[in-house]
Amino acid sequence: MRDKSEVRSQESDGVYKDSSTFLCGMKPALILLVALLFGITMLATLKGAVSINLLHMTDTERDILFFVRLPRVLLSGLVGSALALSGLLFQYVMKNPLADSFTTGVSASSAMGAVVAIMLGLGVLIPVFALAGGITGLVIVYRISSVKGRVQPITMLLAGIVLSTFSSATISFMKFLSDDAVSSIIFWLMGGFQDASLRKVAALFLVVTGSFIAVRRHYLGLDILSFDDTTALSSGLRVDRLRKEAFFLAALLTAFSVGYAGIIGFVGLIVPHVIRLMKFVKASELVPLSVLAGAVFMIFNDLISRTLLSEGQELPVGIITSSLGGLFFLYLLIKRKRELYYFD
Amino acid sequence: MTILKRTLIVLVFAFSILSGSAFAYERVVVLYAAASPVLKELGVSDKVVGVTRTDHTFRGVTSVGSHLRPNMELLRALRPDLIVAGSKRAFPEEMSNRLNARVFYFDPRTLEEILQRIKSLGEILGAQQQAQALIDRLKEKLSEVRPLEDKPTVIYETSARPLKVAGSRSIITSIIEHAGGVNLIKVKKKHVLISPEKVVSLAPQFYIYQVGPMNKNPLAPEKRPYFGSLKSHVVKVDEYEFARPGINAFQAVIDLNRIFLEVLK
Amino acid sequence: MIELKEIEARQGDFILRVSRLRLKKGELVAVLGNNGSGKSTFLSVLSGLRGFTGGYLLDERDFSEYPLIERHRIVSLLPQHSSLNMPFDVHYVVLTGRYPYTDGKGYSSVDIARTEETLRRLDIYHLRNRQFNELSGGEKQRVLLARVVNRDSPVMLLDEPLSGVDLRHQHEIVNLLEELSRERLILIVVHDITLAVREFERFLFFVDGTLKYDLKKDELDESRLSEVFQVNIRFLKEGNRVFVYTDGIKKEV
Repeated sequence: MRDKSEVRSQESDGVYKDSSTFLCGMKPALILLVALLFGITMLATLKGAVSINLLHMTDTERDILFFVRLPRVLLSGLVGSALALSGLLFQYVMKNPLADSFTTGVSASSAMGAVVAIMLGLGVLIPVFALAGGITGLVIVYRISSVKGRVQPITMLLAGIVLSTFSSATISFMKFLSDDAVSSIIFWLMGGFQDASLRKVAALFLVVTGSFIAVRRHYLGLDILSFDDTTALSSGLRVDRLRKEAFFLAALLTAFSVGYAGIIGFVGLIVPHVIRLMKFVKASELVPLSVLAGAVFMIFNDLISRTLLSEGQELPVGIITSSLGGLFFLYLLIKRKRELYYFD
Repeated sequence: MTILKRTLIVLVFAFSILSGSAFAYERVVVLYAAASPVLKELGVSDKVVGVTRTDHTFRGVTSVGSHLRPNMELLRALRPDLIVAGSKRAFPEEMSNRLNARVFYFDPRTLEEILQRIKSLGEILGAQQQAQALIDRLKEKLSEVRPLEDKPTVIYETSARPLKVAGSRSIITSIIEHAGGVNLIKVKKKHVLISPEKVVSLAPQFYIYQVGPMNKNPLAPEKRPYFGSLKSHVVKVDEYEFARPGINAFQAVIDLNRIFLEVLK
Repeated sequence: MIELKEIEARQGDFILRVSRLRLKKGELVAVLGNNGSGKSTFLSVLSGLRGFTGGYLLDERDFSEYPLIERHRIVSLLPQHSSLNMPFDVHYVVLTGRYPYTDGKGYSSVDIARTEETLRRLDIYHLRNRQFNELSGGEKQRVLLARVVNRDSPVMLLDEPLSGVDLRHQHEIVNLLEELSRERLILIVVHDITLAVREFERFLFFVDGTLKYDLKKDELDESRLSEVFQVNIRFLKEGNRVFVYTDGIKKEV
């Protein structure tokens, strides 16, 4: 009787787990991250340039809380999740630990779309242009790197780097053409969450949740993608279909993030790696933990960016993500470099 | 020995000053467009040989590129003896040394400093009288400002994305003050990247946003999600008139003063 | 179990040809031939990873009629080379062999129970928490074999499962495969002829992409083997045991 109930609980989770091999199990980690996410969301909502007394709120303060600060906290969390998930997917598709929205060129081509919008004076349409740019970049990289309907990981990485370089050059050229708009373009490329609105939050929430649900269906397939192609194919996995789907979702997540918050580097690379270094290596663990950790990381970064300086001054959030993330990553690399990844 | 040395140094110094002031600059390159109208008013248009790409103050003058990255070959070919630049950052002194030209930094932060710079420019270009006349005219212009009962509070947006407002080191603060208002942003910078919620909570009477190259087609503030509860009078102004520290700034004072009067009536 | 008729598979200049072949359940078949003779290509055709022309009946049904997932439940393949770029532990690597039975989201308790059993069967239970990529070559090979065995499929295609495995474990694996083959069809690519002749009953010989001989154990002779391998091969019989040794490169006649 007892045995049976145990079996059922494993089945209902639908996910294989064996906590003995990990520093800490999946469940504690999940609970910890959910608690962290809850805590940081509360903290970030309560803290800001303006101090708000929750018990005696004026109308303005209530407006600030619900229409300025809360959307911003939620948007930053969702962008963090989106970037972490897209980075992770790119890493699976390309079997490359260095893959993320930057190395595939999707970020840069999204940004190029956005900068074109700025140059044309169509500031309002930036997200639309970013999406168009990102998907164009995706199609180009995909066309170049697929041979007979098969995506070649190495070619894709090379194509991505070329596209990135080309996009950056184009952006630089556009910057050169308009000296005065320089600060606007540069900052926009560094990213930020000032323009948060509940509408954007809702849209990104749909994209992130939809992608997450889509990825959930392929947890085991993503793990099998880590084997060589022959092994994966002979396991009954539709390798190319999964690669295409993962690639598309990753590009979609990137384009939405860039469209709403600009290029925020490093998150897609660093968050999944940190989770991996904590010994969570299966997709069923990596995906949910990365999504949560991405949100926690980004909310925390934005909180710092808008509260570190006095008098309501802000720092570009990219500076914080790169420095905080970079330092932490470096620490982990030095501590555990051997376990990071395996190449063929 | 030391006396001799000192005398020599003093002599050299005096000579260099004398020759400096006696030397009338004949070939001027203006790398900061806000200074061009001043030169024109000083009546030295014929001495200007080069300007930046976006500067159309003078006719038949070579364009030497952008103000941050002028083309050094074009510059050298113009053989300038005076370069008017915006700041040390935009045009370091080493560069002018390489060109054998004097560099004059036109970087006023207040209306008073604008008048000072006009005076200095008049001196080094041998147009003191014209400079004084211009200064008098501008001062007179300022006397058109009508007094206000209370100082209206103002926040001035220089760029919408990212949201940046004018800080205390911007010429705009001086324009606002001369127009009878007060800039609520006290941060000692030209441009301040600011939290939207801070703007909302400061609740300025006037929210001025500029439109121009720094802020191309911004979304009107009242339409932005984070300004839902902003109750300020929103005023749209031209960046060329307000954000450039030149002659235009004096007209900006008058215009702003008029807006204050109309709204507060 | 498997019936092949006029099979042809092309890759560049190389053509694999199998004119006619019937393989039954309960057989343990050795696939032999020199490098590049088409052994691996043959296995990948059988597992459906490579396009081909001709007739392929699996359980009296045309192979193309099977849905993809069904094919891989029936036919499992151990590729000659495998790699893994994630630090999975041995237990999980073996567990992934059960993929064709899942919904893609998670493994069932049955999968887990089978895996435990397979780990013990292949004597790698003590390695189960070790990282796959930190194992020695022979250990890796045993783990990958376990991964295929864990599929528990009626047809098993093993491309050099014994390479790098120590003698003791070679014996254990061969014994296990013999036991497994009572209920299955197992094809094994081997290079060790002595071992092949000693342990297997049926032999497929490939030469330049063509299935040249399909022989029972008692049909083996020195001249055919010498022809296939292009070395002089001699048999040494001692009682009912046969030893095979080589004696210099065969001169072309």
